[in-house]
Amino acid sequence: MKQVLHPADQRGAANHGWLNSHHSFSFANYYNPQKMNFGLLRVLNDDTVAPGMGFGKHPHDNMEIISIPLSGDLEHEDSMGNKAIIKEGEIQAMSAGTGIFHSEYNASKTDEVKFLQIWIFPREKDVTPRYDQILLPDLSKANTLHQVLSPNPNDAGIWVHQDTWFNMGTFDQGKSQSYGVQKAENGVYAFVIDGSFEIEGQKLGKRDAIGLWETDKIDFKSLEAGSRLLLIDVPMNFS
Amino acid sequence: MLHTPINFVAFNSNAPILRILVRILRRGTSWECIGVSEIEQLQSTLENNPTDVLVIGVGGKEPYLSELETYCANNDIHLIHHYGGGSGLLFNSIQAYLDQKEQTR
Repeated sequence: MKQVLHPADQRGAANHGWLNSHHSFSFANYYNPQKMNFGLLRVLNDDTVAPGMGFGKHPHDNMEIISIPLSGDLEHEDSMGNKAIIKEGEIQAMSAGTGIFHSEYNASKTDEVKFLQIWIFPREKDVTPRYDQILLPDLSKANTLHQVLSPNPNDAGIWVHQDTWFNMGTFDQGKSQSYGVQKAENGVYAFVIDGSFEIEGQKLGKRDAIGLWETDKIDFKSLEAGSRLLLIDVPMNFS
Repeated sequence: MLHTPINFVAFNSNAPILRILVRILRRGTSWECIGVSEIEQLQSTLENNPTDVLVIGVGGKEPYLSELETYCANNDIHLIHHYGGGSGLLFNSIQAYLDQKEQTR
């Protein structure tokens, strides 16, 4: 098994006032050649947007873009005619394909919105753009990993054009579990949303992450009550 | 980075996105950029204009893509496969190109 540790305080940071963002990988003005990607996971931004503020209309193409609100409400509008508010407990996926314009704003005039935005390289380029948003299972049910994203439209969670699987869960202190990696050529990027975990011998706190590959399973243990984990199971190379 | 002279050619068959890419790729004080939206016209554009970096986005299909990769390799043109549309990843890709160029000096 190989691993790479990404402590939270070593992420790229950009505070624009209206946007406070932490970049797990090189993005915008943050450039670290040692942190360009984990396999086909290219972007993991941990964003906090001030009330009423947001990202104006901008384009994307050929990228699978997943947004997971952690608190607050995010308002989305795109060139395909979709207009929606995505809340904590939901997940949004966009396949940018041949091109899409969208905007994202904090829907609240009083409260911040905190969300993760994750970009995955697609399996194939120039697909027809698509948008989807679903309500996740009750993630507060402790000690269970819930699949929230997969490559399969008929499987649990939302789907995207890549052989990637996301799982999330909240765990009581001392609970241990194993996760089976979906494909031999995949690795797993484990991101601690809240609390702390021991993952394959490494202690990780809030917003720390560890990338693991060349393994068929990973073991983790929650070190405090209410610890939340996101596992991103993703190909390490283009097939 | 913005002060290093770079001649870009940007290809994207999505015209609105191409316009934004070209605007971004003219942001540097010494950056020049030609935008192309028809892949059939791309090689002749490269042959007729000094080019340091080719940025390929939507519509970079075969067999043109393989031919372009060979052409770029033989003519010292750095190829960036651009995903994402905006500047979030683009400046990273340009910085990586400049780092690579610096190392090979």
